[in-house]
Amino acid sequence: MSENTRELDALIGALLREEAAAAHIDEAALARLRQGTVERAAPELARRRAAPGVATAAQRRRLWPVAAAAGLLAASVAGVLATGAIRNGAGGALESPPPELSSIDRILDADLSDAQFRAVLSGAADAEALLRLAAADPEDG
Amino acid sequence: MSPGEEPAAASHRLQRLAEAELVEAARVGDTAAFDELVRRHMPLAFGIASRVVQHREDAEDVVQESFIAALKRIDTFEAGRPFAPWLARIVINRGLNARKARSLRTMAPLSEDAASLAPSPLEVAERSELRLQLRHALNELPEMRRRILELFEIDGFTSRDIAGITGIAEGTVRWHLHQARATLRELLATHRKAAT
Repeated sequence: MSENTRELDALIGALLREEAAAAHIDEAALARLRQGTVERAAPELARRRAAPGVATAAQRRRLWPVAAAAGLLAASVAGVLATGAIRNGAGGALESPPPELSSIDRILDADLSDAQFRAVLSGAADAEALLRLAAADPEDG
Repeated sequence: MSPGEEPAAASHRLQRLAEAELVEAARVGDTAAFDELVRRHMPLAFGIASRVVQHREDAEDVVQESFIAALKRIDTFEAGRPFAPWLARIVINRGLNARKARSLRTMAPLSEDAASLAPSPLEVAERSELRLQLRHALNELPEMRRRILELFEIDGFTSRDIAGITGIAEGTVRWHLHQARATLRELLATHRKAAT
Protein backbone atom coordinates (compact mmCIF):
# COMPACT_ATOMS: atom_id res chain seq x y z
CA MET A 1 0.00 0.00 0.00
CA SER A 2 1.51 3.33 -1.07
CA GLU A 3 2.03 6.31 1.21
CA ASN A 4 -0.62 8.21 -0.69
CA THR A 5 -3.15 5.38 -0.32
CA ARG A 6 -2.52 5.15 3.42
CA GLU A 7 -2.93 8.90 3.73
CA LEU A 8 -6.20 8.84 1.81
CA ASP A 9 -7.50 5.91 3.87
CA ALA A 10 -6.71 7.81 7.06
CA LEU A 11 -8.56 10.82 5.69
CA ILE A 12 -11.57 8.67 4.78
CA GLY A 13 -11.66 7.27 8.32
CA ALA A 14 -11.36 10.75 9.84
CA LEU A 15 -14.11 12.17 7.64
CA LEU A 16 -16.43 9.29 8.44
CA ARG A 17 -15.86 9.78 12.16
CA GLU A 18 -16.52 13.50 11.76
CA GLU A 19 -19.80 12.66 10.06
CA ALA A 20 -20.68 10.35 12.92
CA ALA A 21 -19.69 12.98 15.51
CA ALA A 22 -21.85 15.60 13.79
CA ALA A 23 -24.85 13.29 14.21
CA HIS A 24 -23.83 12.57 17.80
CA ILE A 25 -26.52 12.60 20.46
CA ASP A 26 -25.73 14.68 23.56
CA GLU A 27 -25.29 13.18 27.01
CA ALA A 28 -28.60 14.47 28.35
CA ALA A 29 -30.52 12.98 25.43
CA LEU A 30 -28.62 9.70 25.84
CA ALA A 31 -29.54 9.62 29.54
CA ARG A 32 -33.22 10.21 28.70
CA LEU A 33 -33.13 7.51 26.09
CA ARG A 34 -31.45 5.12 28.50
CA GLN A 35 -34.05 5.81 31.19
CA GLY A 36 -36.89 5.35 28.70
CA THR A 37 -35.39 2.07 27.53
CA VAL A 38 -35.12 0.67 31.04
CA GLU A 39 -38.68 1.79 31.84
CA ARG A 40 -40.01 0.09 28.69
CA ALA A 41 -38.07 -3.05 29.61
CA ALA A 42 -39.57 -3.17 33.13
CA PRO A 43 -42.37 -5.70 32.34
CA GLU A 44 -39.91 -8.09 30.69
CA LEU A 45 -37.43 -7.73 33.57
CA ALA A 46 -40.24 -8.39 36.07
CA ARG A 47 -41.28 -11.47 34.10
CA ARG A 48 -37.72 -12.75 34.24
CA ARG A 49 -37.42 -12.14 37.97
CA ALA A 50 -40.61 -14.13 38.46
CA ALA A 51 -39.33 -17.02 36.32
CA PRO A 52 -35.55 -17.09 36.70
CA GLY A 53 -35.19 -20.76 35.78
CA VAL A 54 -34.91 -20.22 32.02
CA ALA A 55 -31.82 -21.94 30.66
CA THR A 56 -29.30 -20.01 28.54
CA ALA A 57 -28.17 -21.26 25.13
CA ALA A 58 -24.93 -22.57 26.68
CA GLN A 59 -26.79 -24.29 29.50
CA ARG A 60 -29.16 -25.88 27.00
CA ARG A 61 -26.17 -27.16 25.01
CA ARG A 62 -24.61 -28.59 28.17
CA LEU A 63 -27.92 -30.13 29.19
CA TRP A 64 -28.61 -31.71 25.80
CA PRO A 65 -26.53 -34.87 26.32
CA VAL A 66 -28.07 -35.32 29.75
CA ALA A 67 -31.57 -34.91 28.34
CA ALA A 68 -30.78 -37.24 25.44
CA ALA A 69 -29.34 -39.86 27.77
CA ALA A 70 -32.38 -39.57 30.03
CA GLY A 71 -34.65 -40.01 27.02
CA LEU A 72 -32.63 -42.98 25.87
CA LEU A 73 -32.76 -44.55 29.30
CA ALA A 74 -36.51 -44.03 29.50
CA ALA A 75 -36.97 -45.61 26.06
CA SER A 76 -34.77 -48.54 27.07
CA VAL A 77 -36.66 -49.06 30.29
CA ALA A 78 -39.95 -48.93 28.42
CA GLY A 79 -38.58 -51.47 25.93
CA VAL A 80 -37.38 -53.77 28.71
CA LEU A 81 -40.67 -53.57 30.55
CA ALA A 82 -42.70 -54.08 27.37
CA THR A 83 -40.60 -57.11 26.41
CA GLY A 84 -40.98 -58.50 29.91
CA ALA A 85 -44.71 -57.86 29.89
CA ILE A 86 -45.10 -59.60 26.54
CA ARG A 87 -43.09 -62.59 27.76
CA ASN A 88 -45.00 -62.65 31.02
CA GLY A 89 -48.25 -62.31 29.10
CA ALA A 90 -47.34 -65.32 26.97
CA GLY A 91 -46.57 -67.32 30.08
CA GLY A 92 -49.60 -66.32 32.13
CA ALA A 93 -49.61 -64.07 35.25
CA LEU A 94 -47.43 -60.96 35.55
CA GLU A 95 -44.19 -61.57 37.41
CA SER A 96 -41.02 -59.59 38.13
CA PRO A 97 -38.78 -59.22 35.08
CA PRO A 98 -36.18 -61.96 34.86
CA PRO A 99 -32.68 -60.94 36.04
CA GLU A 100 -31.20 -60.77 32.52
CA LEU A 101 -33.71 -58.04 31.57
CA SER A 102 -32.96 -55.79 34.57
CA SER A 103 -30.38 -54.06 32.43
CA ILE A 104 -30.42 -50.45 33.58
CA ASP A 105 -27.17 -50.75 35.53
CA ARG A 106 -25.56 -52.51 32.57
CA ILE A 107 -26.72 -49.77 30.22
CA LEU A 108 -25.32 -47.13 32.53
CA ASP A 109 -22.00 -49.01 32.68
CA ALA A 110 -21.84 -49.55 28.94
CA ASP A 111 -20.09 -46.22 28.18
CA LEU A 112 -21.68 -45.72 24.79
CA SER A 113 -19.71 -44.23 21.92
CA ASP A 114 -21.22 -41.58 19.64
CA ALA A 115 -21.76 -44.20 16.92
CA GLN A 116 -23.59 -46.47 19.32
CA PHE A 117 -25.61 -43.60 20.62
CA ARG A 118 -26.64 -42.65 17.07
CA ALA A 119 -27.52 -46.28 16.37
CA VAL A 120 -29.66 -46.39 19.46
CA LEU A 121 -31.39 -43.18 18.51
CA SER A 122 -32.07 -44.64 15.08
CA GLY A 123 -34.19 -47.36 16.57
CA ALA A 124 -32.26 -49.80 18.75
CA ALA A 125 -34.33 -48.98 21.81
CA ASP A 126 -34.23 -52.49 23.14
CA ALA A 127 -31.81 -52.93 26.04
CA GLU A 128 -30.21 -56.08 24.68
CA ALA A 129 -29.68 -54.53 21.23
CA LEU A 130 -28.06 -51.57 22.92
CA LEU A 131 -25.70 -53.76 24.90
CA ARG A 132 -24.83 -55.82 21.83
CA LEU A 133 -23.92 -52.59 20.01
CA ALA A 134 -21.84 -51.44 22.97
CA ALA A 135 -19.95 -54.74 23.00
CA ALA A 136 -19.41 -54.81 19.24
CA ASP A 137 -18.15 -51.24 18.77
CA PRO A 138 -15.81 -50.21 21.56
CA GLU A 139 -14.22 -47.39 19.50
CA ASP A 140 -15.67 -43.94 19.96
CA GLY A 141 -16.78 -42.64 16.64
CA MET B 1 -28.55 -4.09 43.10
CA SER B 2 -27.93 -6.14 46.21
CA PRO B 3 -30.39 -5.66 49.09
CA GLY B 4 -29.29 -2.81 51.37
CA GLU B 5 -26.62 -1.60 48.96
CA GLU B 6 -26.27 2.17 48.40
CA PRO B 7 -27.12 3.22 44.81
CA ALA B 8 -23.69 4.83 44.28
CA ALA B 9 -21.90 1.70 45.54
CA ALA B 10 -24.11 -0.48 43.35
CA SER B 11 -23.33 1.71 40.35
CA HIS B 12 -19.57 1.40 40.93
CA ARG B 13 -19.85 -2.35 41.42
CA LEU B 14 -21.83 -2.74 38.19
CA GLN B 15 -19.34 -0.64 36.23
CA ARG B 16 -16.59 -3.06 37.25
CA LEU B 17 -18.57 -6.14 36.27
CA ALA B 18 -17.56 -8.01 33.13
CA GLU B 19 -20.04 -7.98 30.31
CA ALA B 20 -20.81 -11.69 30.67
CA GLU B 21 -21.80 -11.15 34.31
CA LEU B 22 -24.08 -8.27 33.36
CA VAL B 23 -25.73 -10.35 30.65
CA GLU B 24 -26.31 -13.19 33.11
CA ALA B 25 -27.77 -10.81 35.71
CA ALA B 26 -30.03 -9.14 33.13
CA ARG B 27 -31.15 -12.58 32.01
CA VAL B 28 -32.69 -13.21 35.42
CA GLY B 29 -34.30 -9.77 35.53
CA ASP B 30 -31.74 -7.58 37.32
CA THR B 31 -32.82 -4.05 36.34
CA ALA B 32 -29.54 -2.40 37.41
CA ALA B 33 -27.50 -4.86 35.32
CA PHE B 34 -29.71 -4.26 32.29
CA ASP B 35 -29.38 -0.50 32.82
CA GLU B 36 -25.59 -0.83 32.89
CA LEU B 37 -25.64 -2.86 29.66
CA VAL B 38 -27.79 -0.14 28.07
CA ARG B 39 -25.42 2.57 29.35
CA ARG B 40 -22.39 0.83 27.86
CA HIS B 41 -23.90 0.16 24.46
CA MET B 42 -26.30 3.06 23.95
CA PRO B 43 -23.89 5.30 21.95
CA LEU B 44 -23.03 2.44 19.60
CA ALA B 45 -26.68 1.46 19.15
CA PHE B 46 -27.74 5.04 18.53
CA GLY B 47 -24.92 5.64 16.04
CA ILE B 48 -25.87 2.59 14.00
CA ALA B 49 -29.61 3.26 14.21
CA SER B 50 -29.27 6.88 13.12
CA ARG B 51 -27.17 5.89 10.12
CA VAL B 52 -29.67 3.20 9.08
CA VAL B 53 -32.91 5.16 9.55
CA GLN B 54 -31.46 8.66 8.84
CA HIS B 55 -33.76 10.30 11.34
CA ARG B 56 -33.13 11.12 14.97
CA GLU B 57 -36.54 10.35 16.50
CA ASP B 58 -36.85 7.15 14.51
CA ALA B 59 -33.35 6.19 15.61
CA GLU B 60 -34.33 6.67 19.26
CA ASP B 61 -37.34 4.37 18.79
CA VAL B 62 -35.19 1.79 17.05
CA VAL B 63 -32.64 1.89 19.88
CA GLN B 64 -35.27 1.32 22.55
CA GLU B 65 -36.96 -1.45 20.60
CA SER B 66 -33.60 -3.10 19.94
CA PHE B 67 -32.59 -3.21 23.60
CA ILE B 68 -35.97 -4.66 24.54
CA ALA B 69 -35.75 -7.21 21.72
CA ALA B 70 -32.23 -8.09 22.91
CA LEU B 71 -33.55 -8.62 26.47
CA LYS B 72 -36.37 -10.83 25.23
CA ARG B 73 -33.90 -12.92 23.24
CA ILE B 74 -31.08 -12.86 25.78
CA ASP B 75 -31.47 -16.59 26.47
CA THR B 76 -30.19 -17.24 22.94
CA PHE B 77 -27.08 -15.09 23.48
CA GLU B 78 -23.96 -17.23 23.85
CA ALA B 79 -22.19 -16.41 27.09
CA GLY B 80 -18.60 -15.33 26.64
CA ARG B 81 -19.13 -13.81 23.21
CA PRO B 82 -18.98 -10.04 22.79
CA PHE B 83 -22.36 -8.39 23.25
CA ALA B 84 -21.81 -5.44 20.87
CA PRO B 85 -21.85 -7.31 17.52
CA TRP B 86 -24.91 -9.29 18.61
CA LEU B 87 -26.71 -6.09 19.59
CA ALA B 88 -25.55 -4.33 16.40
CA ARG B 89 -27.19 -7.00 14.31
CA ILE B 90 -30.49 -6.50 16.13
CA VAL B 91 -30.23 -2.70 15.73
CA ILE B 92 -29.56 -2.97 11.99
CA ASN B 93 -32.46 -5.36 11.45
CA ARG B 94 -34.82 -3.21 13.49
CA GLY B 95 -33.60 -0.10 11.69
CA LEU B 96 -34.22 -1.63 8.30
CA ASN B 97 -37.71 -2.69 9.38
CA ALA B 98 -38.46 0.81 10.66
CA ARG B 99 -37.25 2.30 7.42
CA LYS B 100 -39.42 -0.04 5.41
CA ALA B 101 -42.44 0.71 7.60
CA ARG B 102 -42.24 4.46 7.11
CA SER B 103 -41.35 6.54 4.14
CA LEU B 104 -37.75 7.55 4.46
CA ARG B 105 -37.39 11.04 5.79
CA THR B 106 -34.14 12.99 5.53
CA MET B 107 -32.12 13.50 8.64
CA ALA B 108 -32.09 16.94 10.22
CA PRO B 109 -29.11 18.89 8.86
CA LEU B 110 -25.98 17.94 10.74
CA SER B 111 -24.43 20.69 12.79
CA GLU B 112 -21.31 21.83 10.96
CA ASP B 113 -19.76 23.26 14.14
CA ALA B 114 -19.10 19.75 15.47
CA ALA B 115 -16.44 19.15 12.84
CA SER B 116 -13.35 20.60 14.48
CA LEU B 117 -12.16 22.90 17.23
CA ALA B 118 -10.97 26.19 15.75
CA PRO B 119 -9.66 25.90 12.22
CA SER B 120 -9.40 28.87 9.89
CA PRO B 121 -12.47 29.84 7.86
CA LEU B 122 -10.75 28.55 4.73
CA GLU B 123 -10.02 25.18 6.39
CA VAL B 124 -13.59 25.00 7.66
CA ALA B 125 -14.93 25.68 4.18
CA GLU B 126 -12.61 23.12 2.60
CA ARG B 127 -13.38 20.47 5.20
CA SER B 128 -17.10 21.07 4.88
CA GLU B 129 -16.86 20.75 1.14
CA LEU B 130 -14.89 17.53 1.53
CA ARG B 131 -17.44 16.09 3.93
CA LEU B 132 -20.27 17.08 1.65
CA GLN B 133 -18.60 15.24 -1.20
CA LEU B 134 -17.93 12.26 1.04
CA ARG B 135 -21.60 12.20 2.01
CA HIS B 136 -22.60 12.19 -1.66
CA ALA B 137 -20.05 9.47 -2.42
CA LEU B 138 -21.30 7.38 0.52
CA ASN B 139 -24.85 7.69 -0.77
CA GLU B 140 -23.67 6.33 -4.09
CA LEU B 141 -22.20 3.19 -2.50
CA PRO B 142 -24.35 0.05 -2.42
CA GLU B 143 -26.08 -0.02 0.97
CA MET B 144 -24.35 -3.14 2.26
CA ARG B 145 -20.94 -1.75 1.29
CA ARG B 146 -21.63 1.54 2.98
CA ARG B 147 -22.85 -0.16 6.15
CA ILE B 148 -19.77 -2.37 6.28
CA LEU B 149 -17.47 0.64 5.87
CA GLU B 150 -19.27 2.51 8.67
CA LEU B 151 -19.23 -0.48 11.04
CA PHE B 152 -15.49 -0.78 10.44
CA GLU B 153 -14.40 2.87 10.42
CA ILE B 154 -16.87 4.45 12.86
CA ASP B 155 -17.88 1.68 15.23
CA GLY B 156 -14.51 -0.06 15.25
CA PHE B 157 -15.77 -3.58 14.55
CA THR B 158 -13.35 -6.10 13.04
CA SER B 159 -14.11 -7.78 9.72
CA ARG B 160 -14.93 -10.94 11.68
CA ASP B 161 -17.43 -9.05 13.87
CA ILE B 162 -18.98 -7.50 10.77
CA ALA B 163 -19.29 -10.92 9.16
CA GLY B 164 -21.28 -12.00 12.23
CA ILE B 165 -23.41 -8.86 12.20
CA THR B 166 -24.25 -8.88 8.51
CA GLY B 167 -24.30 -12.64 7.99
CA ILE B 168 -21.84 -12.57 5.09
CA ALA B 169 -18.43 -14.24 4.82
CA GLU B 170 -15.41 -12.51 6.36
CA GLY B 171 -13.59 -12.49 3.02
CA THR B 172 -16.57 -10.81 1.39
CA VAL B 173 -16.58 -8.18 4.14
CA ARG B 174 -12.92 -7.39 3.38
CA TRP B 175 -13.70 -7.22 -0.33
CA HIS B 176 -16.53 -4.71 0.30
CA LEU B 177 -14.20 -2.65 2.49
CA HIS B 178 -11.56 -2.65 -0.22
CA GLN B 179 -14.08 -1.60 -2.89
CA ALA B 180 -15.61 1.11 -0.71
CA ARG B 181 -12.22 2.58 0.10
CA ALA B 182 -11.17 2.47 -3.54
CA THR B 183 -14.28 4.46 -4.51
CA LEU B 184 -13.77 7.04 -1.77
CA ARG B 185 -10.01 7.32 -2.45
CA GLU B 186 -10.75 8.16 -6.04
CA LEU B 187 -13.17 10.84 -4.94
CA LEU B 188 -10.72 12.39 -2.49
CA ALA B 189 -7.81 12.28 -4.93
CA THR B 190 -9.96 14.08 -7.52
CA HIS B 191 -10.98 16.64 -4.92
CA ARG B 192 -7.37 17.28 -3.93
CA LYS B 193 -6.28 17.70 -7.53
CA ALA B 194 -9.05 20.19 -8.10
CA ALA B 195 -8.04 22.10 -4.97
CA THR B 196 -4.37 22.53 -6.00
